[in-house]
Amino acid sequence: MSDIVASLGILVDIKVLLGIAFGTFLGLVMGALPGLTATMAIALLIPLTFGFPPEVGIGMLLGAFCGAVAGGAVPAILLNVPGTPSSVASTLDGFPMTRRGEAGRALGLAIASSFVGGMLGALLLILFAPPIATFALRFGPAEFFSLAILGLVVIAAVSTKSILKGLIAGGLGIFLSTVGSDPITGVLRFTMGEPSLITGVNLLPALIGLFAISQVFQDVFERIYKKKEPLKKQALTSARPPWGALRRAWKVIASSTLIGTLVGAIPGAGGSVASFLSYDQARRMSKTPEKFGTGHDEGLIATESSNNAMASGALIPMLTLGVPGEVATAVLMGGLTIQGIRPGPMLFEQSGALIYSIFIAFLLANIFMFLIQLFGIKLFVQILRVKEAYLMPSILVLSLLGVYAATGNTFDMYLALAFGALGFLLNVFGFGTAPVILGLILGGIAESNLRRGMTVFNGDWTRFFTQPISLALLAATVLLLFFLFRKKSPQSYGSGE
Amino acid sequence: MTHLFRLLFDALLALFLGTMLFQANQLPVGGGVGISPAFFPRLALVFGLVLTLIVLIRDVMLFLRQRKASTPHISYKAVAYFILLMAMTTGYVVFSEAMGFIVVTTLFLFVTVAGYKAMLVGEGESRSVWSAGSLLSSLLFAGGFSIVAYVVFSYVFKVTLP
Repeated sequence: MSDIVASLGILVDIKVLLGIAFGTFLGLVMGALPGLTATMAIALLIPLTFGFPPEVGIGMLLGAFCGAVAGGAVPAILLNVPGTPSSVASTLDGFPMTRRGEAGRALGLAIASSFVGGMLGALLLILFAPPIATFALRFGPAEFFSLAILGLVVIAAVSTKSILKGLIAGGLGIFLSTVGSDPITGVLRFTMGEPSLITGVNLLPALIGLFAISQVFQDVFERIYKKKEPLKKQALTSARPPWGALRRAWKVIASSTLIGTLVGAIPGAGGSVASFLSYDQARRMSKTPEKFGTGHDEGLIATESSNNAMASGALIPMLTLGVPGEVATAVLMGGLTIQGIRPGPMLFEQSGALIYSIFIAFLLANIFMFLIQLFGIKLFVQILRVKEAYLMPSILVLSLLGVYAATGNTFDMYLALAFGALGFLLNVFGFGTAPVILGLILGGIAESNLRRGMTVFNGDWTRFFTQPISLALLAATVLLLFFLFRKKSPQSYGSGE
Repeated sequence: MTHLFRLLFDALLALFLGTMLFQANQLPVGGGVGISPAFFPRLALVFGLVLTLIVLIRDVMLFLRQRKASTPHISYKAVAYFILLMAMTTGYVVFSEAMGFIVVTTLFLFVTVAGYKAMLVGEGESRSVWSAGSLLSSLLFAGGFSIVAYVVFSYVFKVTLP
């Protein structure tokens, strides 16, 4: 209880409030720009969080995550171009409404649905996260090792089209996590004589390189093979939420929020799965299913409330177990790690006030997201007119500048550039970048717990398979791989493009 | 993406992992119940190398089957810009300390923004990108962005930029 009271302090801390508002605004902007994702928004914000206390930095990152998920609806509704993968389903009913001349009403519905779904999802997060973390307190080295392996396999298997290539990228990330001085013996591993690598590969240049720089390279590269359609100009005066329509669709909101939170909590399922499942469920429940896809309120309400509930659900495994379920939370976890916060059950045990601050910050981010979109919708429509010619090179400069500002080390700029090139190649050839970053984060956890376990168990490695929870986690890993290999076509094992 | 480039990447990745595995084998091996510092990187590298070789073999088979696949339409302007962007970004990092932040950022942004506009001609960018007005707007943006970024990072975030 004292933790909750202590965490309420952030409600009156103007720095924290401004941090959340700024992060949310940036997330909304990035989400609204097609091609820029929540992942990139978080990665670009991380360097700026260094100069602030952890509560402010975390608030900014959570705001960016929350805002980017919601911001994707703007181009989806106005242009039929989803700003983020999770807003793909919003084009189904959002764009037909725009074509009918109801763009303001569609945006109003999307904004309000995102807000309601986000708030309800955040409440479910607050309800379910602590008991899961309490259960995870039983974990020892064997369980943490197995959990890290499960997390890696999940993200490697589901974040790319090819399971094998995802696993290779995960292996590469684990290898990179071993670079530097061995924490037990002090032996230097793979430093190639570079003093900056003695402490290991810095997470920040890796994050920025893999998720921001590589994205710019990829965006330009894609133009080599296909033409991008220029965005059409849109005019909009207001986006007032039709609250009556929302009240009538309370069943749709309830089911979509639940589906969004549950799917978000399942590692690897992701936002587009959540929104399509919610859409389908809403259609089944509807008295007028034939109207879905023609610009129907219920369709848009289902996808948007599910999207933001999914963001809350995705935080559950990341915060409680230290295992992010998808790419944006993997980067968010990287940002928290850089802030000196290691997500997992021990965080709930040792820093209860911080955890509740995170919960409150997430609730606030949803409120800010609603208010900023409600009063600034004209601005977000204008953002769609920003020319890529100015945007993409500026992102490159901000990425490299952010790395330099945070570390003050030119070597890290080279490292970010190298990771950018690596990330670009991995994406182009279908390996994906999320497994690399997760390997980099979880590789250290897996190795330290493997070595600790071997010492505790007097060298008996079979104990990793005989501890019940560890065995269950390893069995889940094997089962997951089995089903994924069975589900995907043989061709997809190799080529992931 | 042509199959040949994919094969080349698979081969280079396998070569990299193999070289690192060779280096991992040079690391000292510990005794007793503890695990040596070489164990975990070796495990990751063997795992990665074996899977990469499987992917390489699959891609070779795919290459042999689909050699006569039609070549997709390529925008040579985009190829040129992509090469320019990679070169300029590398140059930006290399010369940032020697030339100073504002100069190198202005130069980088001016060239990359103007180049991007040139790439987009015919794709929504209708004005002549080499006109004085277009070049001036690119230059103003580049200079303005560099100065604003310098002021924000130097005075707000108290970061000493090169």
